[in-house]
Amino acid sequence: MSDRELAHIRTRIGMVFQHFALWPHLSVLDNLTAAPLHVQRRPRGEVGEQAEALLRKVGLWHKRDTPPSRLSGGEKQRVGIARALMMRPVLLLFDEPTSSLDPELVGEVLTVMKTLASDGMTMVVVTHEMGFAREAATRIVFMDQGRVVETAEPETFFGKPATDRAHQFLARYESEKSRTQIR
Amino acid sequence: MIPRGIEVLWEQRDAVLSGLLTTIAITVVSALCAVLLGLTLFALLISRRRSVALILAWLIDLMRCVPFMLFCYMIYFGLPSFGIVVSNMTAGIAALTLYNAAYIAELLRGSFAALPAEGIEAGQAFGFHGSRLLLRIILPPVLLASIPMLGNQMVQIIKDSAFLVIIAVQELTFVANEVQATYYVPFASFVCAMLLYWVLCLAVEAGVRAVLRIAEARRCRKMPREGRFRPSGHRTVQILQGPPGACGYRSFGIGRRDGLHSRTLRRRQVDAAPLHQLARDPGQWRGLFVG
Repeated sequence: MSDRELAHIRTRIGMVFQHFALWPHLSVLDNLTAAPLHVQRRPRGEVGEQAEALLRKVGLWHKRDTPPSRLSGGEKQRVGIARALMMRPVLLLFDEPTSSLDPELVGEVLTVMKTLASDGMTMVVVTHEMGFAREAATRIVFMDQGRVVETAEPETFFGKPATDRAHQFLARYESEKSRTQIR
Repeated sequence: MIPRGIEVLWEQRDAVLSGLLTTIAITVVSALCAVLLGLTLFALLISRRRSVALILAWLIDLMRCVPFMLFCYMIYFGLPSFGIVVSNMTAGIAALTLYNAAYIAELLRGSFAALPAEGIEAGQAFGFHGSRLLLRIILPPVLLASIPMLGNQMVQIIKDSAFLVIIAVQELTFVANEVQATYYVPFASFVCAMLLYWVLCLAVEAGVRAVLRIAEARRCRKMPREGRFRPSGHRTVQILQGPPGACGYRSFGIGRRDGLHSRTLRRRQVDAAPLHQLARDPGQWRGLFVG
């Protein structure tokens, strides 16, 4: 596959990175509009309107001219999600979107992701947020050492895992959860 | 001797001015060409075609290891052996361009290596590739980070232009040498040339500062007032107030500002000049940390 073909496919797949990966030389608004304008070559008016709508949706319209270095982690991740949505993707990939955030900010991002899920967006999310996975996912893929161990629906996976490895993982997760709750 | 030297230099001011203007012209043309060529070489240096990048890296290393004077001789006296005859001015500008383009390509490559890879991966993930990836995603932060080093290289070009005296280019050093040889006023003549070179270098430094100021102003032009760059020399301390035990502060060096924000905290920005006064009233500055 040539670079051009690969780039074309990538325009239909949005990605949200673990460490945000915003472009530091562009403001928040420019981060959102860069790819639609220069890669998809869409009209500036249409792109501007979509960018405003998305930034208002994630609650960051008032920070549209701010450079990414001046945003908190949660804000950066919300901008990252908005940036991915600007491309009108058929599929959204999330690479541990909340692992770099402090607990206070994780909720903001998960709320946005739950909204996307309820709107019907197809998402592949790599996450360690068990509660979010249980609540929002339609299918769980459990991996270990780079290999897929088990795939199941959330109720089945969390209620009655089929493989020993998944069972062991969930047992450890439950014991850690109850230990921290007692504290 | 010195008053006579100044008198002689004043009488020869037209020649000195001509030499200065020739130096400025050579420097400006060479610098522009070297930057353009350096950008092209940089793009090839970071190419995914390893053979191209490797060959170019060797050539650039070769250029950086050769003394500039030798390179000048080779261009002016060596190329005619292959039927390529150029004027001394053209040879001088070509030598300055090729020599400094190698350095510029290498310093841009250094800035690129320090760039976080995630931004480039994000660019590729959003469909940027080829020249669009280079122009929109890679070059802007690389150039921003390289401005001070490019300024240094411009100063180097100004100083290297003095070597062109060996191929009889009538720039500033040549004229100063002529004046001192004709009128026997070496000290005044060479000090005058040094001062003029110094003025040129100061102009380059002022240009670099102006470019950095414009870049910062463009970044902050629509930010809230408290986010503005403060070049006055004051240290700016950002104090985050919040409930007891709340975290968050930044203290900054002169003119710098970094951001640490949380919607749960209010923030204020004050001059750090009366910092000792702030420390005396800890109740007012709950949550203050200075480091």
